Amino acid sequence: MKNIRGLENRLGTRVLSMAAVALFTIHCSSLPAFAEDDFRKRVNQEPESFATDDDVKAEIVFGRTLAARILGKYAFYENGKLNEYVNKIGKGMAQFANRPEIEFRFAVIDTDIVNAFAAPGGYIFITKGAMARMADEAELAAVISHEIAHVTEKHIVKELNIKGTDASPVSGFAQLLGGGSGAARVVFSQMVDQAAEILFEKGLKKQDEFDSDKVATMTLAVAGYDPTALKRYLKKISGAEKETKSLTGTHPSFKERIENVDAVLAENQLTENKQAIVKERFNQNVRFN
Amino acid sequence: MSDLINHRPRAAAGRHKAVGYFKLSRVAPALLAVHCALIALPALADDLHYNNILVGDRAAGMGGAYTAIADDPSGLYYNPAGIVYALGSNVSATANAYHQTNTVYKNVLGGNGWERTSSAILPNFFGIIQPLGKARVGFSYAVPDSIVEDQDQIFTNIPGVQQYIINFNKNENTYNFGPSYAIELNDDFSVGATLYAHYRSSQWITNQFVRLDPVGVNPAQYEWTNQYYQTTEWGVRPVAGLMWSTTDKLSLGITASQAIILDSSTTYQQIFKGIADDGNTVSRSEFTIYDKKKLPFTATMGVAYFPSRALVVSGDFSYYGKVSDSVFGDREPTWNVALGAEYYLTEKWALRGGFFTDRANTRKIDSNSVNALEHVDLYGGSLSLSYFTRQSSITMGGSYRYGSGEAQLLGNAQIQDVKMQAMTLFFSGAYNY
Repeated sequence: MKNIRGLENRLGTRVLSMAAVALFTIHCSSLPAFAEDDFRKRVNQEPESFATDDDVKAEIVFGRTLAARILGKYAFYENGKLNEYVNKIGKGMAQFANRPEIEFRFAVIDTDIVNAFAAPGGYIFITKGAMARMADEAELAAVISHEIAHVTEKHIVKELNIKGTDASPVSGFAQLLGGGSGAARVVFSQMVDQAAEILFEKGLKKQDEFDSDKVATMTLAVAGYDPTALKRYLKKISGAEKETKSLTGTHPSFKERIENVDAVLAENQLTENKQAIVKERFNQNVRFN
Repeated sequence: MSDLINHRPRAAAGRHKAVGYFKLSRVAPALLAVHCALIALPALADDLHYNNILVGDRAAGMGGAYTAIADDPSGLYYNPAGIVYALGSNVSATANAYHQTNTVYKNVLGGNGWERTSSAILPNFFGIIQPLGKARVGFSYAVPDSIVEDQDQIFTNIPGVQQYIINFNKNENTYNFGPSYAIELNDDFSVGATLYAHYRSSQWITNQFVRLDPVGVNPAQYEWTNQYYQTTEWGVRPVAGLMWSTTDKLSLGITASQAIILDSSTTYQQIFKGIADDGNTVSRSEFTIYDKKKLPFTATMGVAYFPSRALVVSGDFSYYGKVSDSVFGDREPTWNVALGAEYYLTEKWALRGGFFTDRANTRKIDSNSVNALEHVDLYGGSLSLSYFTRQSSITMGGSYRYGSGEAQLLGNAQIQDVKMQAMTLFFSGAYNY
């Protein structure tokens, strides 16, 4: 963490971090495998039930295609220093994500709207408008962690059931019997359309957003950042109605999200936790032309 | 079978009766029964019940208790509102079934029983679901009723009758196919609709030969009847569905449907040689009608409980309204229930079982009944086993139903005991991608 933040953790911070890690681990293990509204899902429908290397490859290929779709809608923000900084913070936060099999990539996109997008496979985009409203590195880390959580929790992967090709004889037979033969390529494009629709219009499930806020808040604490950074940021942007229109159209209300984060902070005794916000370095790197 | 068959051929055959009466008066009373049998000949079974074959893949294993689950292609048939919960972008499923029925009527002619059997392999169901914006669309094809029935019997022990031969074959299929649309209104509610095209084709042919015992020195006289019945009908069967997730473990499903026949053609032909006719005298009668059969309004309410990811239990209650149809016959209101459960033994194996009823839509026959339609309430069970891979599943299973009741095959007050049983073995595959 030192090479990322350039700060020396004090003993108290380390102890707190370890406690937070323990709490986080307990929380993760107690999280339901599915959100409440997914009660219809059955044992065989858990992606983890049959997860293979091919599934990861499929996720990355899908995410790359979706990332291209995002960059088709919003231009890449040409600012080498800013993007390098965002990648440095992002890759640092990704160390706390339990997805060593994928490489996270981060980019700033050139739009004044306040939003951020995560594509499966670790492709994460933050808008210039969102960056402009951040006050410190902790807030940047909070937004990045929220997006990383969408990837680690495989929200889009689960929503669209993205997985590698099943080449087993049973599957081939069922495909033949079930009329699925030869349709996979056509379907891929349809699924990317659906994913884009989720990102830009429909949004993920409410519970997925709450879960990501929860994971982000806990990750901030574990990484040594101010765990209230996400709450601060949400409060701040909640006043920018016009700029956050795309965000509120695809996410739960700010009020609900702040209440959710408050509950996480209170539950884990993090409300009064004073950790790093790293304002100086943020100001040095985040400057818009 | 319909009143058209029960009554109209009988009316037509009444003319034949007039020709042969003076001869009939000299033979054993049993011959009269034989003669009545010739002209009554109900084609039986399937349209006297509304739950003839369990349709679908997962649903069939759960006894058809699927209205509150309906989250795969079978939902297109059971409750289109449920398809919004189908996992994966595109899902398809198909089922093929071997369907066998056996109906035994006791004491029909001179103490002899009648037995009719049917066996057919049929494409029971095909369905596919795809996303369309925020909604889902689907297309499905279902065969809710199919029968290929035979009766080939020779009787030689009927008093006054030297030989009685009956050859009967019936082929009847009902097809439903059409598109579905469903949309999630909010986190708890979804609505959907399926517009099925309804097509039913039915034909039966019977050939009956009765040779009487010789009287004195006269040669044995005989009666021969050949009957052919064919009907084709087209219509629509809209199905509207609602799905409500009442809690995080309980789901309610409601559907309503009403089949409406838009075009129908029914032809009946009979070739007849009476007892009194010489070998060269054969009468022929034929008529065609275009009356449209009436079918009941149907409503089903289902509830499903999901206590864990490995277990779901469900129940359906279906109500079928009264049908007033002066041409094809009235039908009484009736109801069916289905109970089902699914349990995942492991993440790759699931076991399903169910119980269901298939109650008759006719009046119960009693001592005052005359020429009533048969009344047999059936009760059955189902069992299936599925194996899953990441994108697919294959399922094998079967169902069995049994029931006993009464019939009046001879067009009079005589009551025959009936025992019916049907077995279906099905094999299905589902694929999502």
